[in-house]
Amino acid sequence: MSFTSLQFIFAFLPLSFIGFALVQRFLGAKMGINFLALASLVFYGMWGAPLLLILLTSMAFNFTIGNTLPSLSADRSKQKNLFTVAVIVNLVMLGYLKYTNFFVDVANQAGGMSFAHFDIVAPIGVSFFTFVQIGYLIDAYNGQLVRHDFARFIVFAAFFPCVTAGPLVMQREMMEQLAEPKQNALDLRRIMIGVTMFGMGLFKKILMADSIAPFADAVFNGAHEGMTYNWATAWIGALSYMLQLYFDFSGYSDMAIGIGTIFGIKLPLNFDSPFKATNISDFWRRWHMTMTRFFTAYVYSGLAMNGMRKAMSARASRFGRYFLCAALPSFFTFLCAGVWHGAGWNYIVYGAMHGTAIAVFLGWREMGKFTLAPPVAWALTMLTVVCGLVMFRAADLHSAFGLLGHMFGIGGNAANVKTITIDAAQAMSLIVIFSAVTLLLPNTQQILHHEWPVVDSKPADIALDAGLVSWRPSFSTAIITAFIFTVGITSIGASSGFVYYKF
Amino acid sequence: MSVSVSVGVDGGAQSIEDMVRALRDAAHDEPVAGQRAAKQGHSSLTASPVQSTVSGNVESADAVAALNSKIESGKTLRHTVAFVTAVAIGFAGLVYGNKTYGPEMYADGGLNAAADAHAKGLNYEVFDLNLNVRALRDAQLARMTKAPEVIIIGASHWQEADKGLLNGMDFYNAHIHRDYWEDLPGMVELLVRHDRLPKKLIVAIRDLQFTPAENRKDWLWEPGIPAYRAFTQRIGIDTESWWKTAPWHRLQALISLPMFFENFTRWQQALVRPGATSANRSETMDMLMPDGSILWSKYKLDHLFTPERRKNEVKNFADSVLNKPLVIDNDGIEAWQSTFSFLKSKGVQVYLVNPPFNPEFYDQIAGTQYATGLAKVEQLTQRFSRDFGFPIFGSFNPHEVGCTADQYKDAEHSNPSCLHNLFDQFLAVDKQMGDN
Repeated sequence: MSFTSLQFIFAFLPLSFIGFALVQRFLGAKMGINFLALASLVFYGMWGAPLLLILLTSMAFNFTIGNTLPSLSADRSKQKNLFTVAVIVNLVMLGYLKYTNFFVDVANQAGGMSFAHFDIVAPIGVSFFTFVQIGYLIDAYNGQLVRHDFARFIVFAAFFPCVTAGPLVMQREMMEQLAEPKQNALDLRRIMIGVTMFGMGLFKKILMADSIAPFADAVFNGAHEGMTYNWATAWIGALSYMLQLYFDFSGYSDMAIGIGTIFGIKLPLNFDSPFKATNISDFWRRWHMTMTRFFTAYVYSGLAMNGMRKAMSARASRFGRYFLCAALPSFFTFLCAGVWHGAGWNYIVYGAMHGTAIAVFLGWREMGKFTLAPPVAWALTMLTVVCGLVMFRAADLHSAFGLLGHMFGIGGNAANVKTITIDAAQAMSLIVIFSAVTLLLPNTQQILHHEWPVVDSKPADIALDAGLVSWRPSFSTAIITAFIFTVGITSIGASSGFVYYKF
Repeated sequence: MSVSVSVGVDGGAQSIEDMVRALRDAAHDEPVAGQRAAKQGHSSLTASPVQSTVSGNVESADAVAALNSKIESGKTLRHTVAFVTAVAIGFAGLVYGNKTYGPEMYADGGLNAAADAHAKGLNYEVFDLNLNVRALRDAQLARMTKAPEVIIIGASHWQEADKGLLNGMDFYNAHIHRDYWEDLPGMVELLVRHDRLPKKLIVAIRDLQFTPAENRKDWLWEPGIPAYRAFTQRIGIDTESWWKTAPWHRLQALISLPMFFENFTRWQQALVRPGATSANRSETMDMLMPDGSILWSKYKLDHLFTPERRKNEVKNFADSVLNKPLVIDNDGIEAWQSTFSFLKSKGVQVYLVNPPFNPEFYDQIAGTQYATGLAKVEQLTQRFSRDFGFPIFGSFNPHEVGCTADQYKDAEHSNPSCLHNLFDQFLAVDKQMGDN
């Protein structure tokens, strides 16, 4: 059941909220959390009972280990062994569910074998809930767990707004909110803020992402099928996909945060106007922020610390220090992030591209002789992003490199094959309009900065960024919000589903 | 309004300024509450002259905070009421617009007008066949004066089957677009409700007939669910859950903004609008006939249904289904078994038929998962035949029926000449049954 289905909007969401509010009001906060855990399991169960079983097994396993680890603090090696085994079990499960058939393909291609694919259905959001729980295990190992029970653990690991595609939450930020819920379930203002965010996200997904998606699909599918196209078509496809993915995923994230707000649970930000970034590091601080945060905290930091120790013990040169402490950890971290996205060479190359870009940027910042003018830096950043997303979206490496080649005028076309046909004028109009929206208008949290419905700390200069567009309860705001909400819901058609559901 | 009230020696002067401003704002926004608060504030400052300024400020600050909270609550409440009202007006406007400009799909009025025309022996012109055909059947059956001798229940494969194909038998074509397994019990319910059970009922079983509700890609079956539910209650069998069969997609279409624009534009631009007619063919409008069949517009026959289009449709359809298995819902099989038992108990002679595909399509899918699925559906048809003693005619295989590619508009919809072959088979089987 997708957030964009009427079943969810008109039945599941209101019913679960009413149930939650009633239970919290008459049976207390603890029972309210229990109800939320149950609602999350029901939501996930609608994707299929076997998938729910996998989620439940994963949660039962991690909850048990997470609660055992602190008790082993006296025996550090035993604790470490248990922790290592638990993380490996999670990774093996994720690997089996997501990557088995990829390895079958690799074996078939490399060894000339003809193994058949396994009949495996990866549970929706498996990458998300597995990594959220690995983060939990790391916190448990480091003695940083906030006290909780299994119901709270379910809400942390599988809260229905984020179980399918994030935001990737951290144990502390969720458990602290769940420990002693003080929110009045029927706080009308908070509910309206949540509804506003949900409506804005729905509008982004339905009116923006879904309207530009056909152009991206036509170009990427055509390239995959070996159709001919020119450089302009390749650029239209690439830019269309860049905007589609942004509005799709940031729309999803707004909806998830909005739902969390309705239930009185603040979730972390996932996007912060990434197309305004003027360097690749800045971009990753603004794009899929919770994933960046996760990999920075649990992968990059460890690698960088390790690199620093090695650099210090080897008395490395300035370049050596940069290489061991920044370049190598960045590259490996983004390689992991690429692999995390899915099974395919294109994801690996996507991760490597961004890892390299970050390493180059850090090197430039460390050792460069001059800084680029902001427009040049912005253009270079966006070029890196769009090239990376071509790799991310393409069905295979061949069509990805074909598209990139065409974008830079070095691609060739086979003779006597069909040409990709798109309405270029319409596509360009959408690209210009949507780009202007991303670059000139404030983002969702800036519009809602007076209320700040997320767990992140509020930037000092956010009011300035928001400009004149800011949400306050008033008649005019209500009418504008109602318009966005109504147009979003009534324009739901044969929606393609969220792009990140497949991860 | 956001007022920061600092309490203390240093912040005293600022607090008083803020409070005065807040009270003034409050009085402006909410006179009664504001006056009350002002009164309270005044008394807290003057009632105990010995109290320190600080404690006075504290009491006043509390009053202001309470007041602020009340003001903000009032604003939020007004915002919420305005929001909910605007959303409700938006939805209601779209429902009204879609019912007005797409009456055959969304409103009973349009279908009743068509059924009234049919009862008078007139034809009924429509823009296209996107209509709530299940409700049309209900309206038509309600207006019939007697039960027809032969009724066919099937999908759009049968849409061009008119009574001329049955050697003058009293025939009613109760085909319904994209029918699924719930539609047979639903249609039988309508026949029983209107006391129009025929002597002979042809039940067509198509490839996707037993697709589970959650696997379906279309929603035209949703309006038929109330009749299906009524029938399951009538004969006391299990009913599919409400959640699985709720008319979500129909609701989505009813409040659809793009659909409204499409319906409105078409309505405004149309030279001819839906209505009764005695003409036997229209230039631009499709025709609903009193016997349940349809007639395409001249425009569609001459310009839309071309051989090139047919080949494209066949290729696209084949590409989309080649590797898809056909899933059979066991609940559907059980519901049909109960329905067949009911029909048998009422003395209705049931005939089973699998409609033939376009040979271009059928030959293309040979050996695929889809072909395996078709074989399963044929086996199921044979099982029903064995279990209930119902005769079978037709086949998914067009070569067995003698249908050729040029008799089709796409992969599955044939013209009357192919249907003629099928009905010849029916007549032969029927004769055999009569002889026996």
